[in-house]
Amino acid sequence: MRRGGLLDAGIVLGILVLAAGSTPVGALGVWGIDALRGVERPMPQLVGFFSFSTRSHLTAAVLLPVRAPSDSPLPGALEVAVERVVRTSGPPQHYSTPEAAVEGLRQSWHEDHDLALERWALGRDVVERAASRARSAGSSDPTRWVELRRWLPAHTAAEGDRLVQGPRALATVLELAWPIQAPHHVTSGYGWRIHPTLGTKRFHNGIDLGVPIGTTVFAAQSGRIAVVGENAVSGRFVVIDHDHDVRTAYCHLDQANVTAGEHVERGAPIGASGNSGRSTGPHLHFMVRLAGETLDPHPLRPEDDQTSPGALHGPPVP
Amino acid sequence: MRWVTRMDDGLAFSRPGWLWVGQLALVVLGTHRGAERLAGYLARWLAMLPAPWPDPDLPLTLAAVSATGIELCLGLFAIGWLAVCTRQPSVGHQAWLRQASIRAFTVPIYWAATTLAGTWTVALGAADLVGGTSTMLPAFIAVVVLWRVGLPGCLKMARQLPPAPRTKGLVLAPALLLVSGLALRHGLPVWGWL
Repeated sequence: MRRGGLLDAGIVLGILVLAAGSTPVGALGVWGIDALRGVERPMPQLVGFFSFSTRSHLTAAVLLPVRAPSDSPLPGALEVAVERVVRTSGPPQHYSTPEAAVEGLRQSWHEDHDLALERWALGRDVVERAASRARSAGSSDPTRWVELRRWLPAHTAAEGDRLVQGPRALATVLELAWPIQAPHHVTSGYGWRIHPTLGTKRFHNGIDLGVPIGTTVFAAQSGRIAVVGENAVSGRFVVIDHDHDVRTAYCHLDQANVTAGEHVERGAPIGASGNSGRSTGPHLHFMVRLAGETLDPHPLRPEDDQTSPGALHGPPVP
Repeated sequence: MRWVTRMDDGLAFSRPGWLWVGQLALVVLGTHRGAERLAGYLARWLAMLPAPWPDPDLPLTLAAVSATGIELCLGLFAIGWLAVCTRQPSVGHQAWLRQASIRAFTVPIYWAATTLAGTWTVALGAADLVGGTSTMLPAFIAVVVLWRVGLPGCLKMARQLPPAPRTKGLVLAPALLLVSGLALRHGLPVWGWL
C-alpha cells in the first residue's frame, strides 16, 4: 500500500456505511441509488433519525396517566418512568416492543442499578467497551453515565441519554413530594398569564401556592442545595439540585434555613414562605426544572385519586 | 502481492474521483449531530409557544421536519460547494483575503466543525465494530480518518472556494454557524475533559 489507495478507499467505505445507516441524507442517498437501479423501496422515514433531547419526550411522559406498577424488582417510579419513556419515544433497538423492553429490564435488573440500566439500553458489549475505555483513561467510576457516555459513538450516546438518563430524570420527577403540607390553594398556574403586577403577558414558569407568611416549606426530594439567594424578582429563594438534571426552586420565601452546598433529605424543612420580591401577596412560587427546562408542577400534586400522576409520590412530607 | 499493489495504485490514481464522497459523508455525519440538537431546541421552543397544539407530539414532529429540511438543504449545498471547488485552483493567503466573502469564512468553519464531529462518530463506531477496548483506538482511528480524508476536504474548502461578492453567503451564514456550533458542542467528547 505504497500510495494509500486501499487505505483511503477502506476509510471512505466505512464512512459511507455509517452515514447511510445513521443520517437522513445517507438514507435518502441509498434510496436514490436503489431507485436508479430499479429496486423499489418505500421512501425512508427521514424524521425517524431524530431522537431529540431527553427533555422533550420526558415532558410528554410526565403527563401520561399512571398505571399501578406490577410485581417487579424495579423501583416503582423507575419502572413507570422506563415504561413511559419507551412508550413515548420507542424501546431500545434490540427489543421489538415497549412491553418486551420493560420485561427485559425486569429480568436483567441487579444490584448495580446504573450498569443494569445501561446494559439494557445499549447492550452489554457496547457498555463493556466504553467502560473499559473510561477505566483506561483513569475514570474512578467508569459505569456512571456521565463518564461512560464520553466513550460512546455520538449516536449511541444520544440513545443512552434517552434511555438511561431519561428514565432516571423522570423517576426523580415522579417521586417529587409536594413542598407545602398546610392547607393551600393554587393562586396561579403554570404557563402564559397576564402578570398580576406588570399587567403584561408573561410566561409563568412555576406554580403559586397561596399560604400565610411563615408556613413551613419542605424539600420536594433529597438533593444538594445549589443556591440560596435573594433578588428583586424572586425575593428570597432556594434551589435544590436532585441529580439527573432535575432541580426544584422555592421563591418569595420569608426565610431560608439552609445553606448552599448542604445536603437535604426529601421532606426536610428548608425555610418559611413569605412575600419577598415581586409579589402581590404571601405565596410560595414552586418551580421544577428538568434538563434545564421548566415543567408544570401541577400534575405532580398528590391527589386522592390513585390513578393521577401524583399517585407515585410516596408518603407525604412530614 | 502484485495484484494488491496494482489495486492500491489504481485506487490512488482514481482518488480525486471518489475521495470527495467520503469528505461529504463525514460532513453529513457531523451535520446530523448538529441538526439533532437543533431539533431538540426547536421542539422545546415550539412546545413553549402559547399555541393550543391539537396533538402533544406536533411540536416534536414540526421540529424534526424543520431540522430534516435544514439538514437536507445543507447536504445539497455541501455537494454544490464540493463541485465548485473541484474546478478552482488553490489560492494563497493574500489572494484569499482580497477575494474573501462571508461564504469564504462560514463554509470552511462549517466544513471543519462538521468534519471533526463526523470523524469522532466514525472513530467510535469503528472502534466498537472492531471490539477493541483500547482507549487509544478511537483516537488513532480519528487521526487517520482526519488526516487521510477530513483534512484534505477542509483545506479544499478553505483554499478553493471560487471568488464571490463580499455579501455572498449572508443568508445561509446563521444556519451554517448554528449547526457548526451545535456539532462542535455535542459531537466531540472534549468538553467533558476541559
